Amino acid sequence: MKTWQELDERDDHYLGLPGASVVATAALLALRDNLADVLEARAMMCVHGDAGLGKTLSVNAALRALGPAGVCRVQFRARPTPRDIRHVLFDALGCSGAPPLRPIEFDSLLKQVLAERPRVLVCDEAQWLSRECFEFWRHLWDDRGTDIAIVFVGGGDCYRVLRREPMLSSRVYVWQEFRRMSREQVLDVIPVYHPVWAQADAELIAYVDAHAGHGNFRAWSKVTAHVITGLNRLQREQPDREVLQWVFSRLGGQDG
Amino acid sequence: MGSTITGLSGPALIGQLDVLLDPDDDVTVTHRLLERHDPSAGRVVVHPTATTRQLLSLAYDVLAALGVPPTTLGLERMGLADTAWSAIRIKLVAARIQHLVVLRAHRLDPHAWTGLAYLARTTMVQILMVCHTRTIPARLTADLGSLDIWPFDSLDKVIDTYRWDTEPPRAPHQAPPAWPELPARLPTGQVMYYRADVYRQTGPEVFARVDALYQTGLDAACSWLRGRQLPTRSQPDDGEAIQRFVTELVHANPGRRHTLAMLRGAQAGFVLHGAWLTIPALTRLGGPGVTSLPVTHELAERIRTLSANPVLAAGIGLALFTGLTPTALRTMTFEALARPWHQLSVPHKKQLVPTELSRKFAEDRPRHANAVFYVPEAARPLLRSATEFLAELGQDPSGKIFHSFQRIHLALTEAAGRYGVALPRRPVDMIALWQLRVRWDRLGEPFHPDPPQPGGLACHTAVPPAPAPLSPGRADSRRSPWSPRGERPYIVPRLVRAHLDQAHPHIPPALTGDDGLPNRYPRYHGQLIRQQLATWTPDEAGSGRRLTVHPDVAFALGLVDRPG
Repeated sequence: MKTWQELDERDDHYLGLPGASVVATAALLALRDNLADVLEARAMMCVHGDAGLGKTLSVNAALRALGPAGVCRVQFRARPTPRDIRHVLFDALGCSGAPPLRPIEFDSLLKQVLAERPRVLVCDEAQWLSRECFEFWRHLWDDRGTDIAIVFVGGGDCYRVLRREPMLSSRVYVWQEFRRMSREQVLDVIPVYHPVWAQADAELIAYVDAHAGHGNFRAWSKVTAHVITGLNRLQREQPDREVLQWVFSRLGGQDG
Repeated sequence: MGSTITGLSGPALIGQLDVLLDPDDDVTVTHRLLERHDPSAGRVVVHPTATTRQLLSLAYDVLAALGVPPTTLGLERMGLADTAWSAIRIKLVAARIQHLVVLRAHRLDPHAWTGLAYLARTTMVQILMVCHTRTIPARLTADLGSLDIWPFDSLDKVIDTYRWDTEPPRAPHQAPPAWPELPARLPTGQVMYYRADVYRQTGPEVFARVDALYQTGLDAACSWLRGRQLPTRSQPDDGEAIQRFVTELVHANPGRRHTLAMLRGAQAGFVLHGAWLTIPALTRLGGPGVTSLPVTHELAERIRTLSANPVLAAGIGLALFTGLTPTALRTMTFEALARPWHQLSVPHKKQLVPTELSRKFAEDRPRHANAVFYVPEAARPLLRSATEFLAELGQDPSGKIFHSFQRIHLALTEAAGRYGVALPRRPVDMIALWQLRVRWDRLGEPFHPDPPQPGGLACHTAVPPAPAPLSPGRADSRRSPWSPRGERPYIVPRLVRAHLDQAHPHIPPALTGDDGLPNRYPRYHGQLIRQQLATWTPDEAGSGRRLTVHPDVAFALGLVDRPG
């Protein structure tokens, strides 16, 4: 897993799509404001919504814009245990030496490091966390010595998982949900999102959104990558229905 | 507030568990309680590690809340739950903890609750369990027997009941007064000349500092000797009381020079009460006030807080106030730590002495079988905690204190490093303790009243502190110079005679008469008096000379305000 320092802005985009821009959507702007408040209050925040709606990208972009020091981003793919989180934090915080064996020693070390200066801990894919794991995050955050803000980012069940934990529902300062873009938002955002759509007809964009994009940034990113490939293969300047048919055939979507 | 589960008792009583119910898991409850964590005020709030459920891991959390660094738990033999909970009980009592709050208690294992129930039954500590549930989970209280449980439904009620906002803060310990700085080189002469030597060889300021220590020793000796039976040949002193006196006098001293000044003053006080205090030369020896370090309340509290194992804490305290090597402490037994808490008596002959050390002290062997130490007030809780801890673990009273540590000298040195405590730089073995060579004998010529006369005046207050020495060439017009014809010095030759016959290093004690008084006065007095303690002065008629005490001796005893 890459550390925050190693993470390039381009990595925020799905597939590292060349030429893609971060678009100041309403959700991203709201997130930036919310995050500023959360950092100020050293609080907890939960960013939730379906996969591919741009939560992670928005959090990263907002953190870059706000520029707080000590951002520490951790991500778990499978169901982690508190022990996994301890080890991931140990690496992400750059602790030296061998990881302690006893949980109390480990937590003491982490709390010591987290008390050194203000930090923002970003926990992605938070829907995978168990109650024990949330208890661990709470323990770090409740400690009087630590100086941290925690941002949980998660899709799917994240909201439900966090809400059912009273310890978190009373501690999370801001809940922000990411939703699919409406057709109007798509028509506003996509031409700015990538140059390949800059000159495209609104009708064409609506057509793509209806058949493949579905107001989902990740889907649009995938379509855009294929469109660029298709334009090269078919020697075209602008996407048209023929290019899109070729793209849809690769995506396994409707051909219209 | 509802009713108790196992019988109505009332809030905040000893022998019961209080439970705060907070079903909403309100963050402010946790934070307000964490803010109340203040062991110095008798309040400890335990914030269990997220994965803590079991008895042993909860014990680690409690120890950590008491100030023990988690990294030391393994190093200090806290691997068993029984040991760890015993250490907790001892530490709670020693730290005078009144309230122990355990956060997130609803997540604990029922067995972990039994550890807290043990504390509730065996200490005066009021325990509050914080459960973020609507009711107290029955599984947690099933094994608690007859222990009463009192539920609270709000933190405000807890604070009100425990009087956290209204109880006056504890008075902090007074910091000990700063010791006067003394120059690196000071006279080290015998008692009769020490004060005069310091007067002549140092400046007024240094003399004043040394003399303050000297007077402290003299006053302490006068106080100690008042009403005390002096030893005789038929009833010699066993050495215990005198060792305790001298070690009490100097236990807090920062080094050899301060100690010597006090001991010389004490020797003068003994002479004034018709006794002689023999102090060995301190240059090759060590022990309290010489190789030891002062144990302040602040230092003792630091050791107690940072140590998990009370035995190690006691070991550090012992190493500090005895001035012994950690190796020399190895043979110390559990019995030695027992009451009285202000005195420690250790048989030095149980120590294996290296041959070279034995040879070194062949001519200067200890006089007493037991080395007696005065235990500084601040160190007593450390020793007491270790005693209680060992007793709780079922330690054999005749067993060694440090038996659970294979290399106690290393364990103590490492522990001191962890606690940031500097151990004595040049500790000694038991055979090299100076107090083992201390003795006192009757001279038979008391000069201070006993009981104090005139009415109400303690004898030590009858000795005025010496004025600062005058600068060379400046005469003190207010005081006449010392004269051998003056009123007080007339009594001194008797003292000189007694001193010479009893204590001169070349006179064997066996030559002393049965009554404790010298019987070879004619044999020795001439040369020694002339050379050391007395002087020939013109008699009143001016026609001849008479023998009288040397002015330095009179100065040493505070009988005159200036040496010769």
